[in-house]
Amino acid sequence: MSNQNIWVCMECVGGKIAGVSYEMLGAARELADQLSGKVSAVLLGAQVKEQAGEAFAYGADQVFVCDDQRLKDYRTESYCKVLEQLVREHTPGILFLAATTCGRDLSARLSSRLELGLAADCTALKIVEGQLVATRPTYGGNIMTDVTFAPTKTAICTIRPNAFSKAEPDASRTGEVVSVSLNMEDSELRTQVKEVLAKAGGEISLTDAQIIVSGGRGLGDASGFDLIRELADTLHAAVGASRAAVDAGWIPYEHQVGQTGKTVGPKLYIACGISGALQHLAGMKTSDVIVAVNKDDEAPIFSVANYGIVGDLYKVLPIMIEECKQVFASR
Amino acid sequence: MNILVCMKQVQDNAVAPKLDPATGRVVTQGVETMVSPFDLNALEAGLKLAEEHGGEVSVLAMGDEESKITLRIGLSMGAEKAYLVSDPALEDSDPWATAYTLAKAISSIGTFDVILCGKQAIDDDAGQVGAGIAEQLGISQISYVNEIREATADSLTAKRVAPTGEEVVQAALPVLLTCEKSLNEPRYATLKRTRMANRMEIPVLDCAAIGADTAKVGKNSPSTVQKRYMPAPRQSGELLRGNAEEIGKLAVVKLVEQKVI
Repeated sequence: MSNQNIWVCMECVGGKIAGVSYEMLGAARELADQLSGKVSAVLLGAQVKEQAGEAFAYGADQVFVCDDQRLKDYRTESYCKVLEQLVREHTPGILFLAATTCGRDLSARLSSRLELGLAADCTALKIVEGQLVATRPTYGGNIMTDVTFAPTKTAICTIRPNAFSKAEPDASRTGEVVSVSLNMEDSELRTQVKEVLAKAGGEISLTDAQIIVSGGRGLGDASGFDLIRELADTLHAAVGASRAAVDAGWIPYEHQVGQTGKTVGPKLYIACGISGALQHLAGMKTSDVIVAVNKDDEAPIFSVANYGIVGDLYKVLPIMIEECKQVFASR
Repeated sequence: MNILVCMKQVQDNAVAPKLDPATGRVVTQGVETMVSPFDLNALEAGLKLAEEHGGEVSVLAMGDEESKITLRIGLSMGAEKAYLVSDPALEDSDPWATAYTLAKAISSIGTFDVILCGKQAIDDDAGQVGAGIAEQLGISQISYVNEIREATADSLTAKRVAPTGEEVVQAALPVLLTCEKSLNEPRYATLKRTRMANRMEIPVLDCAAIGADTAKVGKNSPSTVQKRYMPAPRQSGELLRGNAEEIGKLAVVKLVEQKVI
């Protein structure tokens, strides 16, 4: 860490600030208060200027905005160019990016270019003797690793979605907006985004879902996912799956939770008919609350579940769906 | 089309890793190894590109002599050449230093149109090395690729996983891709190729041979693992048993109490 200032590179998807950005600001604010440092947000994109206020409300003291049509879609080269320029000029003590497929792509490129240490997918952060110690899960969450950085340089971390809390927004907070420009010739851009494909039918993405309902081999066949989807729709949840269900061809790979699928940490994870193989647990055991529904009371999934429902999911889930609907209707 | 695939040997993930209390390192003695799964998808993609467009595939690994097992798997699946980077100075290299070293190795081996890596290794889970290599070599990258749409003499178009949804990206060659599991189904090795792979010499390159500065790697890496430890075990909670109606309702009551729904 070169100084006490903490930067957050906001994740904007389609011009809209993603939830993880506020979580990063929350984490940054907390550390900055300990260090008596300042929090700066970096907002990159097209037509994003208006959203600087959001960054202030969630804890930023200063916002760097680079509003450029060429930043409409995420591209490694253009985003890295702006960030590189800013980091070289200001040398923040710590820089956070989101541990998403964009933030991880960008942070690794930037780290390599500036020869800076990067801890990926951090789930905890602390200051020890004035220096950052970043905790990150390795071996699919089976081993935790504490990482330290060169004391005089910028430390870069990507932050796992749902691992940190956002602050209560304060709309009266304000600060300095600094406009920056993208100094890049079009000829330097060697990639082009040809097409952006949204999720089918407004489906919620697994990595930033607050609630996930997952199905496994215990569903018996592909049609079991109809029931999983029904519960997920009721709870505004994303649909997950075990490797067994994906390998059986019941649901596409993008739904797979686990070491060779996606790692998730939602507020609530409901595992239905999933026995809990090591590689599945690796992908979901940091969830705040885990509910497991399984016929077999010896299933390993119960060892990590807050609530283990021993029973037939085809009987229990319809009851849960009805109950949830009633709860929501009464609110 | 000249293709290079980076492969990493990791511990078999069917068994939970253990820490050696004396050294604070992950126990490797007596533990089976495997190729990090996403690297096999990278290799399969490389082999397909070479079949469709001509050219050959080389595989590269960094690690100790043991990593030749992984390289031989690469050869037995269809790679023509294999290279191992190995040097005691590389021990404890962080992802930055690993990418730096692999890029130096790649430059010393030859020039490649497409370089492929897995999206991350399943031991360190960092997912940084692919982008790091691309930066060091000054080439484009497309990460988290789940479909290769088209390759021409001077460009490659691929679909990648975006934070929400997917995007189709075209990059000028040379390009580095990091690969998702859903990209393809890795082929099996043939017996004939396996026999051949076992007889092949695998050149071992040290830092001096590839021009990697030992002052930048290993213990001199920009980040350091200070400590490894097991996560706090998750407490198992309540088991709800009884008839479906009762336990289904009770579960929802509990979730409301916990304020998660």
